[in-house]
Amino acid sequence: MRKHLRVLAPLAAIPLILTGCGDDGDGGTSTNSDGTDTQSTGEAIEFWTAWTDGADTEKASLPLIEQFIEDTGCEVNQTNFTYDMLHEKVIAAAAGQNLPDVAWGLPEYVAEFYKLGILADLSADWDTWADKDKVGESIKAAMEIDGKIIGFPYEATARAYLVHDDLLAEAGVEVPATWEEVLAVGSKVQDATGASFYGLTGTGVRSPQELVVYLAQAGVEIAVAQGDGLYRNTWNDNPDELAEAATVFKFYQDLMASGAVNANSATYGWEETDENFATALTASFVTGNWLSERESTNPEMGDVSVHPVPQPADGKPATYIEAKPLMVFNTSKNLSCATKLAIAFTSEEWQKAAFPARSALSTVSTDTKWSKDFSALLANGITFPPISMGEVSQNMIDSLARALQENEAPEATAAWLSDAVNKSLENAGELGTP
Amino acid sequence: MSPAWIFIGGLIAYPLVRVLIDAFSNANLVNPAVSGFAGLGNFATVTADPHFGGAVQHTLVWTAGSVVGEYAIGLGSALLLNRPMRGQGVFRMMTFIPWLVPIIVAGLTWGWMLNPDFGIVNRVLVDIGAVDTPINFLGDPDWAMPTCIFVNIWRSFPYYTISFLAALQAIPTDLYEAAAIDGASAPRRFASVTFPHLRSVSLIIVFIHIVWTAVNFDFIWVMTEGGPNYATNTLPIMIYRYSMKQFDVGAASALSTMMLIGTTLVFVVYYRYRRKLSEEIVG
Amino acid sequence: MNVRARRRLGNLGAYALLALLVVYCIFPFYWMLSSALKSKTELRGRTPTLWPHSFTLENFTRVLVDHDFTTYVRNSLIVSLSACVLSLLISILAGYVFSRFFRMRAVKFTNLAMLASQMIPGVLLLVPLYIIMRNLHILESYFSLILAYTTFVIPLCTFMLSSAFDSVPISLEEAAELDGCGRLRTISTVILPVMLPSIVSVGLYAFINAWNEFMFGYIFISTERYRTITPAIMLFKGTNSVDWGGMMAASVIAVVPVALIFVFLQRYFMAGLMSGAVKG
Repeated sequence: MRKHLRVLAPLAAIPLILTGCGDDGDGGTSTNSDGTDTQSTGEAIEFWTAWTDGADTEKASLPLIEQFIEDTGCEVNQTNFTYDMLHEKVIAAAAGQNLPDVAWGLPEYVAEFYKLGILADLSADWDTWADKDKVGESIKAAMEIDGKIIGFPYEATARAYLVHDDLLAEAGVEVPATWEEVLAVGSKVQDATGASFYGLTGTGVRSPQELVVYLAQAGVEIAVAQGDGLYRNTWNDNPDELAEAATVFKFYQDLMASGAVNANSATYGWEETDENFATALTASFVTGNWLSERESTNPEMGDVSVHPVPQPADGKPATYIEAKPLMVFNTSKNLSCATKLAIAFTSEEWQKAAFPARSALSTVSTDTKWSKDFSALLANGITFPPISMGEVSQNMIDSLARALQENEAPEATAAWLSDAVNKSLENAGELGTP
Repeated sequence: MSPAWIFIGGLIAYPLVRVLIDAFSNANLVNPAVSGFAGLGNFATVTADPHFGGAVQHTLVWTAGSVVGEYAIGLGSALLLNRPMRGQGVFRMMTFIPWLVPIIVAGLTWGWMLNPDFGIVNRVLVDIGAVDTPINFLGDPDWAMPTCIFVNIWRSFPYYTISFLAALQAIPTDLYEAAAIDGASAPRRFASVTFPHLRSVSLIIVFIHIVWTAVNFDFIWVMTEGGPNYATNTLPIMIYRYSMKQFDVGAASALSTMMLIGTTLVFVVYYRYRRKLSEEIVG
Repeated sequence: MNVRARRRLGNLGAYALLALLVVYCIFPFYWMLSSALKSKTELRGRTPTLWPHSFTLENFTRVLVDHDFTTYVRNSLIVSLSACVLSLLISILAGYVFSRFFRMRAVKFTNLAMLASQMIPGVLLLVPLYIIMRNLHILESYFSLILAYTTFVIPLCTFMLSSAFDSVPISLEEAAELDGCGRLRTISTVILPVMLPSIVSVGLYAFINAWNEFMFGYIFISTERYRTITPAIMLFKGTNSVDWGGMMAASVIAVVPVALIFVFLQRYFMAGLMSGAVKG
């Protein structure tokens, strides 16, 4: 019976809101705008996360947040979303001036949110933060824009080249260190074991992250700061850079042509590539240490070893670092609690509990290959430049489609990407002049 | 009650008015400072977009392919389910299940099932020898659009089935008996008795599905995000990218306005037919 | 004999076609169910299995107990039923007006404008409607979703119902009026029973539309208390891994309640059809 009432209650209330709407518009009788009450010392803070439901991070974080509420007296309302949902919610909330107080985020969001003018400047809090020296330079750089700190790094992982040793041994292939060695293997592993030798992500969020690493190894960047503090892709201004960028697209095309990668890779996103590596349908792949979680369900994962990302013989080592900022929004009515929460998440205690193998602090790690061997690669870590990545990411995905699906000449693809990136920067008002 | 009516009317009309205004204005989703009259600038932005022509074409293929397929399977299944046979209740129930599956769930599940490496569909196809190597249904540019249409048909045809079934049941049986006595063959009976009774419901259902399919965003987004390499990029996906990724509400509204004009033309065609039917009945 | 043999052959053919149809319709749902009953190890295996070898209810208990899907199902039911009832109420009245006063210019124009509003992709309205709901102070509540879903379906519901009113002979109404019934009474006692199948079908559309909606569900709602089922299902697609077992179990849970409602309504629907002879 009670259940029926619960269903009927909103039904009964509908006529009320419909007829009462004229008054609602004036907002005369309503409580304050975000619906929270103000009886405690500070406002409750809205906190948006994007952890994987049911995974260890959630299990460790929830009691810590409870503890935080008890210790500080700050009220916290935490809600979980996926990153895609979270991103769109922040955009809508920014337009509706109804932002949460604190939120997890991806590095790709930083410049975009900063430009919306919704991020709180945490520089002063960073300077007084006891653990700041435990954060590596490249991770700190990912928290910075315009010389201001806008987030605390709650999670940071490098990408590494993971190899199924048994499959390579079966095919009699050594772990490659250079692009040339990868290409020389060609379809040897495929022929001997039935598993693709190498992996590449042709589309989706992870493909720009892969591309930016290969570009860095070849010595070029997707956008470089200009004298005016704005950014620009300089490949079309500089024939040497264009040639270097073209070698990257050439590498992608050669990977396909040599039979080293699955023929369908051009349209694979991380969902497919990670799955194929975990089930040993792919013998080696550049990915992150979250795959450690597959050891418990996939016996194929027992033979995995961790290596640096293969680089051009005349290039330099590089790997992508994904350092995720815990952002505080400047519309928060309780900045002190919001900032406290952001810092608490990055504290050694919380990091050890919730991100033991993916911590931004150099002092937090576990004694496994998933932590140690990955951390060893952090020194060569690179990140995206602090520009609005939305359109630029799409440009990078499109460039891979041109190279891998349309078989465009590598030079033409590089030249196209250079123009496309500058056009996107111009649209975003971030294009610098040389 | 009248404030409620005005309120509801306002909520329905508001987006329409707003889209029409924004189409001719400089408008940014998150930056209110961007404003002013843009003339036809937004329309120029849209038509100059290198993906515009392709998107128009894909939207037409997607809409026509889906509606034709849904109509054929919907009508066929309704005729089958209308036969007096044992177990029809169960068969009807099972036929309607796809329509009860939320679009995002349908898209994700089919995407998983159709994967070339670990999807069940390719597994079965290879095992029974129908294909030699797995087909990359959603990744191959030639397969992607037909696959999306196929999945959309799967999800949408039951609504046709329900509507046709209702109309079929309403046909007086004496009409069939009379036709049978006249010695009319089954196809003949369909053409002279059944189909005329389905005209009215066909008209409505085809029209609303043209509109729904043309503006549908979720299905393609969840399966391919418009890929591979824009092979399934439709106008609603472009609108989404303009508005939620580039924040260019002006361009998104201009594109919407263009879609509005297109679908209004479809409406005019519909309206003429319906008026004829309406006048036959109301007199 | 000849006729009976032919009839039997026809039935056999029909059953074969029906079997094919059922496989087409049911297979993905079967796949959801069978995947939901598989262990994590089996789901993540290299080759997919057609039926569960490691039968487990772990996914269902996880979804229902740990993830509190009962709350989400309840929220979705509240939102969808309310939107369904509300849109039926409004569109029956509006549909009647559109049908009976079809020649009035204003009505024609309203009809066109309402349908035109259907032709705007919802993604374009995410932010404008978010701002409206915020200004009405109903963001974190069922009302925002009910209101949005109702306004989305009213134009088409009205449109479909006005077509249904069209097919009710005006003489039926005149007879009732001669008997001294007022207009509203005429509608409710004479016309509506005849139109029951159309109303059920339109109501079903309004309900399913609300049940399935995804984007507004997560844009408007920021607390788990009011979260509906589709955004909740999406959460199983994590950042670096997809929990197929959980997602499939949740999907099965999302389909079953509506399937039950459907079974219940179908009888009603058919009974209504038999009693009221509708001329198509």
